[in-house]
Amino acid sequence: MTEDKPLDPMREQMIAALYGELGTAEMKRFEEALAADDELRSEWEELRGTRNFIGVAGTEGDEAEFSFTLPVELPRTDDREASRGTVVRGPWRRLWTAAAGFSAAAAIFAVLLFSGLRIDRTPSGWLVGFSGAPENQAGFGSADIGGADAVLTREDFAAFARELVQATDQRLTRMEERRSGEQAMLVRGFLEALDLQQQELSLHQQRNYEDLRARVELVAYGLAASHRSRQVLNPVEEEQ
Amino acid sequence: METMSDTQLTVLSQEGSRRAFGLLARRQQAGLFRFLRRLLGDDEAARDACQETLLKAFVNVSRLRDPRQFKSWVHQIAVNLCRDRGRAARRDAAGPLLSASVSEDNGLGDQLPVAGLAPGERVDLSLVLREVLGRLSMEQRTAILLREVQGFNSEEISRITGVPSATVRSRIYHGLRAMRKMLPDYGVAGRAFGEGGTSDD
Repeated sequence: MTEDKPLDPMREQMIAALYGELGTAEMKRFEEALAADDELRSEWEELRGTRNFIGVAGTEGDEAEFSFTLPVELPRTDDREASRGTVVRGPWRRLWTAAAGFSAAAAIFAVLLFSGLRIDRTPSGWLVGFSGAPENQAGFGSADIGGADAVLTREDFAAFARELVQATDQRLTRMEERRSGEQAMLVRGFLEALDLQQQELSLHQQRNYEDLRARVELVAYGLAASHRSRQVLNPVEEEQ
Repeated sequence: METMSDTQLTVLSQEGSRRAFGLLARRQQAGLFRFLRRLLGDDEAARDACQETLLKAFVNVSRLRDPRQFKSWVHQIAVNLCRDRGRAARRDAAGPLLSASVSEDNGLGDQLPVAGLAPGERVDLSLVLREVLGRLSMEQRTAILLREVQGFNSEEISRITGVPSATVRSRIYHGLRAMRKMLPDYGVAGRAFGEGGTSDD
């Protein structure tokens, strides 16, 4: 479609100028281009005229009104999501999500253990694989579960637990950061409102000041007029 | 709560406050309705679309990532809604509004029906504006209204309509020029609106 093709640079400038989006130097260059090109100037006048027409015509006939009605019973996206499971609200909701994630990870790990997962520590690092479950595997092996000879030692468990705690902690931190972002936004909003109040107060003070100054000026004029009148009516007394 | 900014009300709405959303809707409804009645050319259709738009906004407000963008997000919902309705109306070929002047070949199938106004007849300017806008394509009409009536800039219109801002400017340019060409048909002279003087005034 013709209307979707990008405009040439001059027409781009024309639209930008039409909506006051050109800088002073750009506007000056544009005006020079207009002055040198009758066709361009005619186009510019047409666009400005049409904008003016919209401005005038657009304000007429706006009598029709609309008032939004919010139904009493209306499911929201998060309500619908909540209705599928346990409803947890407020800050607990985030912790609940973290706990659910932790439980799911633990359940997956347990299933992997039952299916013969082996995690061995080698000089070059960790070795993870599947094999027949050894007798001394954690949870269903012999008495030395977690001992130094076990496939999965206490240190392994401790390391795994540390990693899990670390990952959970990181996730909670990320959630906290997000929460902080929302709080920061609320604070920003509050500061904006405060700024507005200060501006209004300043305006109010300014008005009061001007009002007071006008009154003082009025009194000063009155005094001057009175003094002048006395001078005119009784010059001798005034000189004394 | 009445003194809160739109952003603050949006955050509260996202946390589940119906009252906050009610206030937000009250602030937006007049402008949104004005935009939709110009876009759709019909008061009842605009009321319907406005109610549906704000309901959709209420249901999905928790999905809005940047609460500062509430106004443009609501307009995005409105534009998408009108676009979908236009498509549905064309499919049904019996839609009440957007299908009436469908012409599959001219590429302007989403023009509004132009009725009750003969070229050359002297009428009020509001009606002329409605008629002239109605003869534009849906894309041009949307871009011009978002710019002229709602005061969004090219970047914001780009986000609302989902097209590059250069395309938005192109649509506005061609739309305004098309409108200018139509105005004399309705007895509106360009000179009356500050034009320096053109051949058809």
